[in-house]
Amino acid sequence: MPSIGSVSTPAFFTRPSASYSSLEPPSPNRSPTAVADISVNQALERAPVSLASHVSAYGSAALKYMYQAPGVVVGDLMMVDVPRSLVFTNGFAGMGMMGGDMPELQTLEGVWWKHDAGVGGFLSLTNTTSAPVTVGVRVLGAHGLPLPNQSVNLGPHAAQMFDLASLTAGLPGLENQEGGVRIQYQGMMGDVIPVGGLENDSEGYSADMPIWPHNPPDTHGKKHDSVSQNNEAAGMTMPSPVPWTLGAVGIMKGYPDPAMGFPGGTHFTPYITLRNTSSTPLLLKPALYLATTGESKTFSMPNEVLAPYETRQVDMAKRLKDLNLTDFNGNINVTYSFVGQQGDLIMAPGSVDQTGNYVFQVLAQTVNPGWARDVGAWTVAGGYDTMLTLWNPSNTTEDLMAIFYFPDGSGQYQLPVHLAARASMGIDMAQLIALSEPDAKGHTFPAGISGGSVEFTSPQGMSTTINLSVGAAEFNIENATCSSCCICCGGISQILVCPNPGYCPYNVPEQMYAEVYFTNGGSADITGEANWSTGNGTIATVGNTRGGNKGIVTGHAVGSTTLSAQFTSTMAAQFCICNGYCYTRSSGTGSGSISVEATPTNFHQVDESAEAGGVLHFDYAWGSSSGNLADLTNCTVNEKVSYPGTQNPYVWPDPPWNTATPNPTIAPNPPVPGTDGAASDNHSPGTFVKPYQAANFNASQIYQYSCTGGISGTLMGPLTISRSVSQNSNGTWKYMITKSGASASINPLP
Amino acid sequence: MATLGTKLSAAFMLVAFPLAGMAIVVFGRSQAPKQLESSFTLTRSAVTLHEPVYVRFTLRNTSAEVVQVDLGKNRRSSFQFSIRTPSGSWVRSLQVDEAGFGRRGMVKLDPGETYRQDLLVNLWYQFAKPGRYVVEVKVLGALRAASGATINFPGSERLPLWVRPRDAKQLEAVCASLAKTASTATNADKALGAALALSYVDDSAAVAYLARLAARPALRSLAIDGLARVAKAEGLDTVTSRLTARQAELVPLIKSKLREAEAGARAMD
Repeated sequence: MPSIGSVSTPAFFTRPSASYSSLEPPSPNRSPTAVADISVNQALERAPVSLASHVSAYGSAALKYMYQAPGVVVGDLMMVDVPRSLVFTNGFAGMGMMGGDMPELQTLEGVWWKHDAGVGGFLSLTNTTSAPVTVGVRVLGAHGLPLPNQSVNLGPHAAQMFDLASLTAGLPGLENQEGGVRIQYQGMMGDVIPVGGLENDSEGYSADMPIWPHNPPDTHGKKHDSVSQNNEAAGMTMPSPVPWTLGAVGIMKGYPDPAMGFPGGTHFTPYITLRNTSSTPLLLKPALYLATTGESKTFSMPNEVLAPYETRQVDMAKRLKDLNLTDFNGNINVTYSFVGQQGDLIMAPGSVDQTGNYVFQVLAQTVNPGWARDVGAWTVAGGYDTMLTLWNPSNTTEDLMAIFYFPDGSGQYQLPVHLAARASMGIDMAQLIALSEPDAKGHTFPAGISGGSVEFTSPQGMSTTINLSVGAAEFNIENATCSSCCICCGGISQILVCPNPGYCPYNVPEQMYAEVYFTNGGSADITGEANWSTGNGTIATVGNTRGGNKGIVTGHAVGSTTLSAQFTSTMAAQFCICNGYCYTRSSGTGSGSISVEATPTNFHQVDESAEAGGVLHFDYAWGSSSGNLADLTNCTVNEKVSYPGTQNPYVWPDPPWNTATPNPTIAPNPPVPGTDGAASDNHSPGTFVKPYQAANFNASQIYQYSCTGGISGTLMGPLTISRSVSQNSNGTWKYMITKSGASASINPLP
Repeated sequence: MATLGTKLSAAFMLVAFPLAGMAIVVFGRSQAPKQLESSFTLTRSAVTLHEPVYVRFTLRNTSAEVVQVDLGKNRRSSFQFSIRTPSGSWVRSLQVDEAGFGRRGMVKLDPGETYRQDLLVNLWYQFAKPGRYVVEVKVLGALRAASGATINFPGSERLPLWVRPRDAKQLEAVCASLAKTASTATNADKALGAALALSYVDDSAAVAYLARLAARPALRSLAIDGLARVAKAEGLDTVTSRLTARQAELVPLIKSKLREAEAGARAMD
């Protein structure tokens, strides 16, 4: 993943809820595009003795970093049990990237299935917050039969593990062959992280349990459960159903390429488990494509209709037989299209060999145009290799650039990719590195490279959408472990309104800006493309005319309101959550606050007088742009007087003076509160010293204001303050000061 | 609480001011008004060394008419302090230099209204040693009334103040509190007041807080003044050693302020 942020500190939360940061002080800045491997076991071994009692068989890990926007660091957590040939992989969820700004009912839906009778599993729930969270867990059977909801109380940063067999114990017969799990809590998306896995350690079978967000869940159709009623009560609204396509790329079928090194006779059979998470029947239109380098034929499969909440293990052997593909050896790509809401369908695809030992999972992903696709990490060390499968799902050719980033951020290797319509391409990372062919810029992979990351974009970068689906798997023939890599739909990670909070003077147009931040760390100004709005038009309005006044805020009343910029590009904004599911929105919105501030205005001279001792006195007054002086509570007024030259302090001509002043003089300190509406100014003669000499100098004065949010301006000036000492015709000396046509004097000087 | 009228017998006269129903109370010598009550109190009669010292000035209009009093430039120049030090000697007639641009001192009080102002005594005198002090404060006699008449305000009040030895923990808490108010108060007057008080904590304990305040444009000038005061009291090295690498940009500004102080530079406009 390119452009990693400034500081990353993995923190491990052991059970019960003690935390330990493995890198103290925080690790140095990660280089752009760098990859780091951290061993949880080794980190815990280094933990202080005081935490030893908290170390347990399971816990959680948090990855923290600082950057302007989320989404630029991607993390995978892999749990490997080599002796039993088990492996589970889970991506770090990007907090704050997946949901709204306010706590609400969060729903996640998972799917489980039993590859054979010996398969069990686990479900863990982790509270990532510092406050207790109550989580509802409801298990559903193959045909949607719900078991009673279990309420789980999770303490701060606590994790709890559940055995799948105990969770599904109440399901009868066939209902217990596959099914779903619904996890709900009140809070922000990411407050609770569920992880699930399926395993049969007697044969070395392991698979990750896909668990995806489903917000808001099924508010359409029949509201027959408490979930729907809760959502309705919470005021959740459902967008109109839209077409979706989920795809699985690079499912192994038949005998693998001998170059991959699998034991002879290893034969893979695809599997696909589908779950309808909604309360209405779901019509699925499947399609199958052979992963060929040329244009692929589309194989239609019979539609599937999933009953409400139904989970189904698709009989892929029969489907392939019906398509006369029983003897096909290679990779296939499968898609399921439906009309509904995001998250209505969960798809768990992959392939498994005849022993159940080798399980090649494939991350399902939305098939749609995007800005980029990223594989967070690939590995070619320690007996591992990584297989990438690229698929162009569109009906037109696709030219892409694959950028392989080296793990220490030292460089990259670029590989142009040309994909015909619906064509696929496989990249075996170990083989690609072994070729040692320089890219167009003469770069090759460094010798002994152990891994890295890769990003696929258009050759022009993240400025044009691409049609690409990616499958990626790390496999280790020696210990018979395979795991899918984190696939991330690179794109927009955040939309920001800036400045935030913003301030604008009352009734004075002020330009605001909107920026998108991309997952590769780049950003772009979308002020002119965003759809702008304010929360309260009586306080402020914002211009929204394309090519005209986009983002220009005008304050109509003193106060604060929200300012929103919705990105409505023809290219869908995509938000990466790195769980294989591109959390796609047709648009994204950045919000901030805008405060309309009254400012001092109508600054004017009220009075002037020549006072005793040669003091020239002025009185000034001002008003508020809102008409109410009390609105100037966040404003101050002061003066700035600049004396000749840049020397500080400025020493007045000596003789006739023995005086020095700060240059510039900014007074008073602290300044006058704006609410005063009046101030006075005394210009003193200084201290004189004999023998007198003729001398004069000018100072330049402005009166200025400053308000919260950096709003400032000049109220009056520059005015010239002239001071002189001169000799009278009778030989005596006089002092004179003038400003704004007024004067004061001391004549004669003593 | 002292009542002016009772303190100054036959010292005031009440003059009806016909304009817009407003009345001006003029403090004169011929008649005793009983419409104003004033007091000075120490907000805390015991502080630790280098903590800010405040005297609260309270003025209450007990009349049925609107009155105005002039407290001088920046509402400070009419106050005069004298300090009896722990050694028993007096430092007399302390006034703040209020040349240049500043607040007008005229304060209007509606009938029944009370005006309160906390005077940061450190502006007049820095309590450099622990011990028992006496703070004497008065409003200078030559107040200007709208009518043009000048009067003498009632006599001074003497307030005992105990400055205890330096307490690093207490000082840290005070600085943190002032810095928080300066940073978070939505009212500019309140924020600036807190920053001003922090800038008069002539102690290395204030350096980190002042340096952070310097990052805020509205408070930068006050913060630099404060850092220069600490540098003058405890040495520039003491200040610079407490600045972060990013705050090192403040050093030339502090030096510039020190040069101003050495040259006796002051605002003249």
